[in-house]
Amino acid sequence: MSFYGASDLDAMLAEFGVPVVLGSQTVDGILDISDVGDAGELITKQASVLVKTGALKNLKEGASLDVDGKSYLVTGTDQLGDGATTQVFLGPV
Amino acid sequence: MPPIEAQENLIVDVILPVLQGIGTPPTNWLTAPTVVYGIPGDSIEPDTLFLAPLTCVFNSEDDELDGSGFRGSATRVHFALWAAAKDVRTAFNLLADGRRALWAASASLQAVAEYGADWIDSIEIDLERSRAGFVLALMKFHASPVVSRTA
Repeated sequence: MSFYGASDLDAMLAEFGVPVVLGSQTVDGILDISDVGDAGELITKQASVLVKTGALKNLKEGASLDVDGKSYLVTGTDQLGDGATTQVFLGPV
Repeated sequence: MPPIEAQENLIVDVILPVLQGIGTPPTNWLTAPTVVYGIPGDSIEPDTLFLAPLTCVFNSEDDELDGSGFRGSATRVHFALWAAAKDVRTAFNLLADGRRALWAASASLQAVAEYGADWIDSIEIDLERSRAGFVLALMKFHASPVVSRTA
């Protein structure tokens, strides 16, 4: 399946991305680490990485992923917008 | 007469050391958490999850009603115990240890909260953070001190 403007994604990921490794596959992805929670609650860190949808075979919850040299456990995936990109949520190994 | 410390603070002075003793012998605890009073300003790193912070915070205060609905001269001082863990099972174990610690403090707490202590109001699980590899569990409880009428 192809997405409108998908060809621009490669340039964007190459410019801003970091290496994302799943098994023997390596792609570029954009790493985000943000704080989750409201004032008066425990605030926790949420890491995620944005990759092209379908770029990584067997990407699913429970998979081990190396992002920019650090190991994570995939805790879920969300296909975003028109579906061209997937946000991969990351937890500690 | 020396000034009397606020009742809320007196209660915290009793329960905090007991909670901070979770994980230490001779009691066989399920967990060995880091215990912090108040909500930390900084966010918790996933890499430090194994520490399973347990947080105690003062929530609010209201009038105590007796069984017939009349307002008494006791208040309810509410607290929340936050437990952060990597999984639901560990989060529940943290709260179980917290509960045991509070029960163990009952006698001491009675001295500053005459109308009873450690009543569990609710237990909630926040699964919103599960994608960050966290489970947050929240146990709300209260103690009921008599309002001081000393001028």
